[in-house]
Formats: sequence, C-alpha cells, structure tokens
Amino acid sequence: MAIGENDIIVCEGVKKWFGDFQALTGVTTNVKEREVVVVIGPSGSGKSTFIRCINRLEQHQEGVIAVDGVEMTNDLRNIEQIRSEVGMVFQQFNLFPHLTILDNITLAPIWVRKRPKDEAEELAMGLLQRVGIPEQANKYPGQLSGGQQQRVAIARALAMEPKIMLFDEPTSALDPEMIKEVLDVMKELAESGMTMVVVTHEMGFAREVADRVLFFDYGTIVEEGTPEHFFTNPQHDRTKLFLSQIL
Amino acid sequence: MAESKIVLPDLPGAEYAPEPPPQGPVVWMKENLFSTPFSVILTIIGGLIAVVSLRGIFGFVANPERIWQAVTTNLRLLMVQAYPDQHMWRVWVSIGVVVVLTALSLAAWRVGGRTSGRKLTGNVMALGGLLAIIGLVADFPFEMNVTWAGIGLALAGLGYMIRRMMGERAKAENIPVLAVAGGLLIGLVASLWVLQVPVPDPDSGIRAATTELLANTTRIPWLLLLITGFVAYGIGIAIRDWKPSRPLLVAGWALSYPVIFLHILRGTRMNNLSEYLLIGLAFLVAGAAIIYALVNLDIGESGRLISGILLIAALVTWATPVLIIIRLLLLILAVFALAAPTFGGSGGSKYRYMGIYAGTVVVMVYLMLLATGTSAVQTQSAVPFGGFMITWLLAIGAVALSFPIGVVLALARTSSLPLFRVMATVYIELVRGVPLITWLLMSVVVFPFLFPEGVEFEDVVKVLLFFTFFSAAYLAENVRGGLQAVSKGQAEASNALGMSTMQRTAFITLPQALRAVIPALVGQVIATFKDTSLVAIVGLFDILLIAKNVVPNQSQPFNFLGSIKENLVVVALVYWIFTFIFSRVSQRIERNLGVGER
Repeated sequence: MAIGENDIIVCEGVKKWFGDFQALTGVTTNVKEREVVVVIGPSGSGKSTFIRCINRLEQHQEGVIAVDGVEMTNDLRNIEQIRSEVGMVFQQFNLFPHLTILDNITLAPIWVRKRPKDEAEELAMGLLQRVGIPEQANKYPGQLSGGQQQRVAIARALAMEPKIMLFDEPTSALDPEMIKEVLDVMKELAESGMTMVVVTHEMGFAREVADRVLFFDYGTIVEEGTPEHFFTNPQHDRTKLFLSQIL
Repeated sequence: MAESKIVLPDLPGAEYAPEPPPQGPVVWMKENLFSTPFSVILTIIGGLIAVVSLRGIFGFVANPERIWQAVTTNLRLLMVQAYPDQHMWRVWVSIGVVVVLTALSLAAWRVGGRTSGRKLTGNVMALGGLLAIIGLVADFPFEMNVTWAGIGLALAGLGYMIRRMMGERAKAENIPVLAVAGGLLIGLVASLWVLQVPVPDPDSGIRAATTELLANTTRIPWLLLLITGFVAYGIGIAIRDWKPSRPLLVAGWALSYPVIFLHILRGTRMNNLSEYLLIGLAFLVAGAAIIYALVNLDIGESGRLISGILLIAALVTWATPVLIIIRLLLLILAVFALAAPTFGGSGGSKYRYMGIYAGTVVVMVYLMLLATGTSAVQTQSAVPFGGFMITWLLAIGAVALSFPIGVVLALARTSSLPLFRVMATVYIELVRGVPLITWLLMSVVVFPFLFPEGVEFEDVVKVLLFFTFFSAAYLAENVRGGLQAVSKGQAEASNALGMSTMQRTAFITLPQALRAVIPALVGQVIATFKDTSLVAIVGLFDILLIAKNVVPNQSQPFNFLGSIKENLVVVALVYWIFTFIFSRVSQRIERNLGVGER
C-alpha cells in the first residue's frame, strides 16, 4: 500500500503470535490525519491486539508499524516518544486508584511533558470541563461511576495533547445508561478533528461518526469501507453473517 | 454512586428505615451467647476457660511469694543497663526528642477524632466490670477479692451515674479523644507522686521492709517530658497550616534515629569535623552545578555521557584507598545525575530536585561524621547500649535500613533484567534458608574474616547489619506480593502515557503495592522487634538477658535470687505493650489510606 502524504499511522503486513496462536495474520492499512476509523469484529478476531500494537503495548513480530513517521522498534526512546503522542483509553478505565482525579490527569503532563504544575492543573480542569465533570476533580476514582471514570480516562489521555487517540472497547464495561455519556464525549472529540482508532461494538457510533469501518476476523481485515457501504451493502459473507447476528 | 444522595421526600413511596427494636443485655445475650443448644455449650466451656485463666494469672501476680521489688528496684538496669549516671540526661533528652516529634505529628496530621460521653462512660463501665469479675474469680486472699470487686463495681457505678446525669447529651460526639488521652497521661504522671512500692532494706534482706514512691528518681523528668509534650502539641497546632510542616516532620523522624543513638546516646565526638565539612561543601557546589546543567533538557545526549562517566568514576573509587565519604558522595552524585532527566521536571520542581540532592549530601556528611567519631560515654562494655535501649536500637535500625533494601530487592526480583532477577532471588533464598540465630552467631564469628584487615565494626553494628539483611529478605517477599497484586492494567495505562520504567515504578506500581501489603509489613516490623531478643546469644545485654540472668543472679546491691518469674512477666508485658501500639497504629494508617480506594 502506498504511503500517502497525510498518513499518520502506517501498518504493513503486521503479524503477531501469542505462543503458537497467531493473533494477527497480516494487517495492512493506513490511517490519515483527522480520520476516524472504527474497528469491529467478533471477539477473538484480533482487533484489540491490533490497536494495542499501534502503541506497542503488544509487540508485533513481523511487518511494519510506523506512527507519525517513526517506526516501532525495540528502541525504548522511540517507544516512549510515540506513546506520549498516542493517547489510549481502555475497556477497564485503568485509572490510578491511589491518586485523585486531578492527579490522575496531571501526573503524565508534569513528569513526561515536564510542564509546570499549575499549568498542568489548569489544563486538567479545562479537560474535565470538556468531558463534563469538573466538580469531581478532588475525588478518587473509586468514588465515581463507571461512565465518569471512563470520561476521566479520556481526559487523562487528552492531557498529553496526543495526535492520535486509541479506544479499546471504551464502553464495553459500562452500564447501558452510562454508554451514551462516554459516546457523546467521543463524538465531540471526533468532530474537533482528532485522529481516532476505535474498537467498539457500538454500531450506532460506527455508523454516525466513522469515516471508515474495518471488519476484523481471523486476525486480519476481512472488509473495509465507509459506514454507508458497510452497513447497507456488505460484500463478504463473513461480514454479512456478523451484521445479521448483531443488528 | 456516592455523590447521588437520595433525598427521601422526592421519591414517591420511599420510607425511612424503621427504628431498631430496643435491645437490653438479656436480648443481646440470648442472641449472641445462647442462641442454640450448641452455642450454650460453647459459651459455658469458653466462660470456664476464661475464668480459670483469669484466676490463675491474677493469683500468680498477687501471690505474696512474688518478689516484684526485683523488678521495681532494677527498672533502670532493665531499661538502660549500665549507662553511666553522669550521662543519664542523654537518655531523657532522647525520650524528649521522641515526645516532641510525636506531639508535633499528632498536631500536624490532625490525629484524634471526637467521641461521645456514651462511649466514654461505656468504656469506664466495661473496665469496672472487668475489675469486678477479676476481683470475684481471682485466686486472691479473701479481703483482696472483696476490695477489687468493690473497686470494680464502684467504677462501673460511677460510669453509669455519669451517663445518667448527661442524659441526651451523652449521645453527642463532642469530646476530643486526644483530650481524654492527655488527661490519662496527666493522671499517670500524677500517680508517680502517690504510688508506693516496697523496697528492700539492707537489714531485713530483699523482702520489703519499707516502701518508697515508685519512680522516686524519675518523676521529675517524666513531669518535664509531659509538659514538653503539651507545649510541643500547642506549637504543632500553631504551625500545622504551614505547608512544609509535614515533610519537615517526616525528615525529622527519619533523622531522629541517628541523632538519638549516635549523637545523643553514644555522645559521639566529631573528630573530622573541618575536613568533612570542606569535602561536603565541595560536593554541594560542584554537584549542584552539574545537576543544574543536567536538568536543563537541551543538554540531551551529552548529559547521559556526563552521568555515565560520574557513575564509572564513583564505582572505580571503591577499589582505591579514597576516603569512604568521598566514595559515598560521588555515588550519590552519580545516582542523582542519572535520574535528573526523569525526575528533574521543570520550573519549581527543578529546584526542589536540587534541594533534595543538597539535603542528601548534608545528611550523608553528618552520618559519616557520627560513624567515624568516638564515644564520649564510657562503660565497661565497648558500646554504651544495653537493656531495652539496645532492643530499640536494633529494632528501629533494622526496620528502617531494611525497608529500602527490601524494596530494591523486590523490584530487582520482579525486574525484566535477568541479572538483577537472579541476584535478588539467590540473595533472598540464601538469607531465608538459614535461621536468624545462625546468622547472628556468624555475624560475630565469621563476619570479621570477610573484611580486609583494619576494617572493624563493633559487635552491635555487626548484629544490626545482619538483622537488616535478614529482615530485608522477608520484606522483599512481602513487597513482591504487593507488586504482583497491582493489576496489569495499571502498568499498561502508565506505559500508554509515555512514562518511563522508573516513573511508573515510583508513581504507580510501588505506592499501590506498598499500601496493599501494610498488614504484612507491620507483621514484619513486629517480628523484627521481638527477634531482637535473640541478641542475647552473642552476648549483647538486651532486656531479656538482663531479666533472665543479671537481675536474678548478679544485681547489686541486692541479689534477687529466684526472681526470674517476675522479671519474665514484666519483660513480656513491656514487649506486648509496644507491639500492641504498633498494631493499632498500623490499623489506623490502613484505614486512612483506604479512603477512596476502589
């Protein structure tokens, strides 16, 4: 695949094994700047592994992944550099339970970005305002609801002012009534022009927000296209079966 | 969740929970002691065991054959062994340092809530009830049974009267706990002017001939300490809103150990003062300049080069006959230089980092001055430490020193670098595989051969080092348990934010791991405290050895032959009091840290 001028994530034949089990069987795709890519697929299809390879929480064994022009190798400084440019939101939130909400958000800007404390706190309060929970700043994660925790997690990732945001099933651990508040924040983020890669089961979100949908199975991209194409006129049998089961 | 408070009137159909039915003691006993035939049997058996034990214990204590004056006349021997008279002020000053730090900390951390008259009178009534029961069942002479039962009942009655008088006000939580504790302390010190104990008399032998005030010689110092404590608490309240007060107190506690044991109690003469001060000053200036250059991030690659060279230079000096203080200071500088890009930060934190470096240098120079000095306190033994004093010296020293070593070992054992992992594992398995007594004997017998000629340690230092190494191995395993309990997602989240391994460990993994294992760590502290009694085996006179051998055999001017039982009981009580305090303090810390967790 040719590398376009705006391609911020480049993946070429990415393969990954867990022991003998091959989780990724050759993934090739590029993500443009300001593009919102939604990854869907049955569980065990490798979509989470793929997104985790992008900031090297998992190491791919074959193929090339380059983020913002820097190739993912074992060079630790490259990895830390890329990770500070790529925000990630997890299914289980993974907030730091021993720190207040404000400290959760300011920790990395202060120590990784070396920003002065008061500046980082100002930024954090602005982000909490943006995700709609500034009044929770001095509480601990355990005192917040799941939806609020996930919004804090988004704010924490945004505090590093990343160029790309990765979402690994951000709403799967939430009660139905809390899913919307998180999706609303994500929609607002997409509209602001953030480059996003989102693994999700929320088809409504995919249809409404995605520029492109990737359908994963057997560790590779089975079908990709615009939401329009994908939901109204899928080509592949596997895609049709998957959509018929969940829609 | 927590923030969505349900306001009753807004919810249709909501009702207040019903008042619980009134519960008298009869209902309580029926529900908790006699609910089923089986529990009736258990209650009776348990009650019998309790009565028999109480009767035995208190009968033993009150038996007229007991020679308790063996303990009361030898209290000083048990506490400080043969510490010279003219230096006793050093002991009181040391206790004073601890009292002042404790009082300031109580104020700074706002310890102590409020309690209600109901709870307080409840405690008085329970105490009275307990005394009455003891008075009734103990194997006392009959008059004593009556006296104690009477005192107990009177106390319980007093508590009940006060509660009745307070009426509804008893329910309000408005009595500060610290005021109650302070009142008890005042009462305790006041009792030193009243309590009489029998003292042996040269004419009639060790059986008491006359009585004398308990703490005849020490009540004035205790009074002064009490006043100091109250004054310090007042000062603490005045300065607690000043932001650096808590960090300063933590530093004060950390420094109190070398200050008390090396500076005050050992009375160290600083022989190398001017030379060491000069060296320290040189390192302060040069080091501050280097670190200032390194935390300015633009320096980049050449910064790593400079700190690498410093580290190699520091390691090389250990093979050369340079003064130990220079080797240590160079090592500290190298470590600070290496960590500068990670923890240097920007703006204010840059200067804070340099301040921490300066503080470390000052403390290190001070410690080395103490370590190389000579003692001004002359006793028969090489070191002026003995009795309960040596128990503290070893317990606190071993715990404080083994803590950082244990944490480093735990991190090494869970590290991804195989060399560290293997070294830590071998160390831990080796140390844990040999009994502490064996290590202690080896510390005195074998250890000296491991060092080049000319390097010598006092016995107490050797023993302290081995206690430290031993305790560190166990501590490392406890901390490792905590590290494994931190979920993988925490490491992933900090990685995803671009934190380095050092930052992740310092800010995310380690704090969570340590708070998860506080109960195990306190267990380790208590075990170390009690294990110090093993030093008797290498001839150090700790409180247990004095109680077992010195008081019953060799004490002057009275030889309390056959008083070993009484001594052991008191020593056991002393150990128990302190371990009980440890355990209560740890429970409190656990509760406080648990706020907002999960």
